[in-house]
Amino acid sequence: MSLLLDVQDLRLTLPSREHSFSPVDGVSFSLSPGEALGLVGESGCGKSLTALSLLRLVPEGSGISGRALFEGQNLLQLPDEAMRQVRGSRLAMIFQEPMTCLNPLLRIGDQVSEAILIHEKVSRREAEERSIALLKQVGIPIPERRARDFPHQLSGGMRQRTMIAMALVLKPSLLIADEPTTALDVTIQAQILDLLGSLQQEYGMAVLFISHDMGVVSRVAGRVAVMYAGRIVEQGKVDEVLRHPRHPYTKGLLSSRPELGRKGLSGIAGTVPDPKRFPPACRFHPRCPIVEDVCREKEPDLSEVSSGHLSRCWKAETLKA
Amino acid sequence: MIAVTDLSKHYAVPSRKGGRKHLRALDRVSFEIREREILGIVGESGCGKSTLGKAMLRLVEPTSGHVVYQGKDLIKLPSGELQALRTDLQMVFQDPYSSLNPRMRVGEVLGEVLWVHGTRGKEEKDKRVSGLLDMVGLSQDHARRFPHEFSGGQRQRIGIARALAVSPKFLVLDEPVSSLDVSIQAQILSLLTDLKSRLSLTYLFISHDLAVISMLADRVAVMYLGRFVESGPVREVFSSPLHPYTQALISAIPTLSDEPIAQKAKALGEPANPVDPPPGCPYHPRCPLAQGECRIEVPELRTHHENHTVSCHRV
Repeated sequence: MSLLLDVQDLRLTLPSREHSFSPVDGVSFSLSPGEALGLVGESGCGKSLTALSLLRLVPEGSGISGRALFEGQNLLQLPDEAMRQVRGSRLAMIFQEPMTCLNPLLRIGDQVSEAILIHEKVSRREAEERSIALLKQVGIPIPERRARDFPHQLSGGMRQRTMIAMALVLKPSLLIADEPTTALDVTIQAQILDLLGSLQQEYGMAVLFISHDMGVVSRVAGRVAVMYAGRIVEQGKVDEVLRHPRHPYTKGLLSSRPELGRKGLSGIAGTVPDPKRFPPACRFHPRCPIVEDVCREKEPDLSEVSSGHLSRCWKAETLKA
Repeated sequence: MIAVTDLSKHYAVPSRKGGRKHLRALDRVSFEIREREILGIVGESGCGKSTLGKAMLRLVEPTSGHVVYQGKDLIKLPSGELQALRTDLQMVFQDPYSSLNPRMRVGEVLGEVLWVHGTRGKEEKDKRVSGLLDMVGLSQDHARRFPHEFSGGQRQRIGIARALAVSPKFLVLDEPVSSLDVSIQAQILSLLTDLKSRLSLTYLFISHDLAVISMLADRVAVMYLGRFVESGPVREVFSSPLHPYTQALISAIPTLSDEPIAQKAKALGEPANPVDPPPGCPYHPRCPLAQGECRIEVPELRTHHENHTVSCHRV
């Protein structure tokens, strides 16, 4: 099967007063049509910037290099106008805080209709009808009435549902969801995750799901890539990575995670590195419990440890449990 | 150690038709905390868990109720006497950044607390400050830095150090790890566990995260719309939850195990507006088990067995 998205060596370089730095530094991954890939990591690891680089929604003056083939076109080299066409039609994105993406002065029904009217030649009436149908599909109760609400009148969960409705307007083949449930309460989070799962099935849409929470990712994604300090450090099928992590960072993340009924957390020593000052050689070495000399001297490649399972660690073999 | 009875906090909010309505942020909550115990308070946003923590220490004035500590009712105490007792009762907040003065060095932040509570000599103060920093895993030279120079986890350590400066016996911890990355969260949780046993502390630990509570607390109370809906020993409440809301919370946690969620346990819809709570059981509009009486009568919190209490008509 051909790939929907093939990202190779993606690098985002941001200018800064002292020297430029790369919070996303040589990231490669791919997505098949209809597949859900999770991108996991802690704050500052570059997961959101990876998504924004793909959409080219990065600050002016920053440089993006590498290649991102999406439906046969390299997103990184498309002319601006063509890129605008791709955004929102073939490729849509939803964010953690929908309030910052919704216009506070427009009724939500009008905002969804607007998205339809921009991309399609339909009458206002038809756009309205379709927007109500979409709001209904994403689980907004009494959508005819809710369509007349302003964003501030909605709860966080309903706002996120509205964002999802807007993203679905043109039936994108890829949805990028950046921490879409992080700001929500756990019962509402479960509802939104269920919704995303069923929409993904129904639309045959691929999802790049960004989250700091391995548990959330394991609910929606089939494969997962773990990021640390601008790099992917481990990648593979969710079950495999969860059961047999082959990178000490992934292992640490999993054992730091509070679980019902578990006693004792181990955590990871030290702090998450500042993107302006990533450590040399293996970027995890200052925090790694199994560090050796080689880790301080040279960075390992992301290489296959078993079929479809990649790890960027000199000692991946010893982690085989 | 502390006995809370019928603690309520109501806010008057203007209603649309003019006049006023009451938002019952906290509605007749009663419980006890035993010495050296960790009581976990769990619930979703707006359930009143933070209000509970603040009302207990009178950081917000409760509308009614009693909080008895060392034979004294904190709610009735004149402020002078309350101030004296505050050295025993301290609070740690979710976001240490917003509770630290950005213009004060960390040593000054801690020194100020000591000064307010009676430590005068500079030498004595410096000694105490370095002892506190050491206690929370920071080093001496951190005393000369400003809050913005620290990471989130370190700032939370400072927040904890400040609470410990007056050698309290009881801490209200309000979502102390919620804004931290998971690897850092684990560090702070083990620090809190460690301090508790080293200093014989008692905690009221407020969190939206059931897993965090399950790992730390001895007993837990689940809140919904300003009330306790279930409470009991942590292990029991989480392994055999009685209230449908507790069941929904537990099944909604994204765990790493791949057991499917039981359909019946899921919560439907969203929480009701606390200004306009539904009649009867406040959870009934979301409850898959709701029946006639749930819509009419508010269930009382009753003892199911031993220390396990629940407020539900259907249990």
